[in-house]
Amino acid sequence: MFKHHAKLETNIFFLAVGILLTIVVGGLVEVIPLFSIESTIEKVDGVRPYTPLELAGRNIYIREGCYNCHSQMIRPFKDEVERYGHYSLAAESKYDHPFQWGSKRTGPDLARVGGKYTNDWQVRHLINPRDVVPGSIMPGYKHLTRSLEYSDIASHLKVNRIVGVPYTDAQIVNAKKDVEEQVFSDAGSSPAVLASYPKAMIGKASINLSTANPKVVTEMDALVAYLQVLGTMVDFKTVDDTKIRR
Amino acid sequence: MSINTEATPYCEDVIKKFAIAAVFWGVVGFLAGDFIALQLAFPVLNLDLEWTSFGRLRPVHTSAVIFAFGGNVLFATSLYIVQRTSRASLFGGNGLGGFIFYGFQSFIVLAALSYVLGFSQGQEYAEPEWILDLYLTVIWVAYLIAFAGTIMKRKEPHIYVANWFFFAMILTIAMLHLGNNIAIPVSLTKSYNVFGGVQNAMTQWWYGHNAVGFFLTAGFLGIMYYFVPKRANRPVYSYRLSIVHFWALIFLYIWAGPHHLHYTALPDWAQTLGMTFSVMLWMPSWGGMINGLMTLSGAWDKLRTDPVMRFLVSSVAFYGMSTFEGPMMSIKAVNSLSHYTDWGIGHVHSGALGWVAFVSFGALYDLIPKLWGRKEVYSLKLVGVHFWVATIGIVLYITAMWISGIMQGLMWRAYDSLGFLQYSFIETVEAMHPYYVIRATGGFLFVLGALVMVYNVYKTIKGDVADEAYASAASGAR
Amino acid sequence: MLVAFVDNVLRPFWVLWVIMIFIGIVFYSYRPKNKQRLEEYGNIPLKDDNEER
Repeated sequence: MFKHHAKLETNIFFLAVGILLTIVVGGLVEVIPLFSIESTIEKVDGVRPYTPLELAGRNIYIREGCYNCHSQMIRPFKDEVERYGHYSLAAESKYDHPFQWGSKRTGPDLARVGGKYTNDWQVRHLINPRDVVPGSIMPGYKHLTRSLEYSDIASHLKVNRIVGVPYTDAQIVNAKKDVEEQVFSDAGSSPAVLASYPKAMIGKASINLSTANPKVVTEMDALVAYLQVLGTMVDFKTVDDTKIRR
Repeated sequence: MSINTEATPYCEDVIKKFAIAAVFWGVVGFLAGDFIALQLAFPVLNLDLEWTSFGRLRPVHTSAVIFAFGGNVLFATSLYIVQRTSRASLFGGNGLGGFIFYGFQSFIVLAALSYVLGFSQGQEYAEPEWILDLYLTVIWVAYLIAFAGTIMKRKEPHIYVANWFFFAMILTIAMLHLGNNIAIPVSLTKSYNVFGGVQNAMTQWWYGHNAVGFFLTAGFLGIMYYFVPKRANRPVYSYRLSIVHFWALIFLYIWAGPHHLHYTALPDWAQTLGMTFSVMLWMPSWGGMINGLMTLSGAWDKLRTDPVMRFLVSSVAFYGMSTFEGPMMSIKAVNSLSHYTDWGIGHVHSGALGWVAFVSFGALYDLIPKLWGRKEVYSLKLVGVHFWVATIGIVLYITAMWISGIMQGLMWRAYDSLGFLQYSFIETVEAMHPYYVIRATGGFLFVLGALVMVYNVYKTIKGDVADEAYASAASGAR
Repeated sequence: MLVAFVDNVLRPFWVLWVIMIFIGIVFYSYRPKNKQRLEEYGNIPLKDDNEER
């Protein structure tokens, strides 16, 4: 066996095979079982695919690089649970492509920011964070008041279905209509989109903005719709704690 | 073993280009880093423009320093070393070399532009969209062909260990890049990764951590195994240790990714594996450090007389420091405090500035005079100035991040006497301000040092010699 | 099959596999017989044909 190391040193092909074997094994052992082991993703009710508007908002979240400063992963510590809410479950991000757990909290965790603040607060905060949080070091995002480009939103849903998000045919067909319905229905009403996507935030988030055009879907509306649903899908009052313990 | 005494016509035009590009992108990347550091201290610098917000510029910084600066250093040194230690000219010559050079530079420009304009995959250090990923794959395959082809036509029977490290880097980065970026496109500029949620988290940090392990560690260890012996004019302390170092390092590193996901929704068994291997990684890392440092044994005076050697040796010392800190931070109890805080940023930079950048500076200061046929750099004194300015910068940077990181971690978990959380989140942000200012100051010094290098490199290439007496005294001591 | 192999063979005894491979490499490297040959390789960077052109 030891004679062969000399081969390894003098033949680049054998060196390549040696290196590949060495580096492949770790990845195989750590990654593959995540797909096969049942308990990796907890069985809880409520997690659903994002509405087309939320998905568009999520893409803005990614575009602006929010993950560079905000995590979406609450760890099971007393202080984090008290500060942010129930610790995060794998199930809650199972439809996230890509995941946005983050690695740095320059700003607070956002895994359960949904419903914590009003739409007005979110909009004002995004336009100039220091208007509502004086010590904030977050950039302002004035440009989000422009209109949202969503003509191709159905193809986004289609691709999400290819990678494993269970959008139905009807949801894909209605994608564009659902965007408009979610924004232009009155807050508190129950349009059809809500039947397809429970707990979605209905209404135009930036309605009270002085510059807002009530007939246009803005990027702000999409991003706030996404933020408002974060962490709200699972109702932890109905979850059996023993089933989610890792 | 017959030694070929005839000179080999090495291909060095393309090495020169990579070396200059490395210096250029180094300055760009450091400047971008210092600018976003200032943004955290003074948010008005975000300018409220979409293209200049921290979220879009931070990937510009990380890509510029890791891939543009680090990548060009690796191209320059690996393609130089593989020719020298194989005693063969570059496979594919300046043609293939030029393709890699222009291909890679255009990739960098396109990637940086794409982040600023808002196209991002949203995964750290893997931000370029699918189309750019494919483009990079083509360039990387060309690099693999040039590198492996040169080894295949070598005259030296044994493949020198530095080349093992480079080769492992090339293969592993190819695997990671392809594995982590499998995505289905919606359009030219938008795609969705096939992995989601917890699986995506695992593939991302398998990629992310090993980008550190192979790109920034294995590749730069290849530099260490050539330039430290070369500069010290003596063989590496123990070649046998370097073999053990190599296999142990690449085997252990690949498992360490999950330590980025402690206490998350990643299953515990994976976290435990990640922690265990991370702690074990401390051993080969220090084996390598000892190998690098002990190469100097009996020639420690060079530390005093040769500032280039000082860069190389200090880089190895920083490597030892951050590879001690890393395993410590991967222990779950420590990680529960350090994760999500600036401590992680400080740790990365003690490795990136102290190890990666310093070993690069040392290699460039040795390489550039040789490429242009000069005896030594324009001014060794200025190399010394660069060294001290940059070292002070690093010390300011990492101490500021240690303090702010540990402080913020403690503030997040602090309770008052009534049993309530003592600090609101914003209070912990405000407490960071002085340390962010100190960090940006340290970063500024690091940029300043790099500018001194630019001047020195410029004068060296021009053919000037600053202070003959000092230069000849130092090279006489070699 | 691969999954089963990983689950039933590789993962449960990984410590054993790691130690065996490690001992193998150390044994190879530090065998007295190999010392001279391996340490000689350390000189490769120093015997550069084109030095002092």
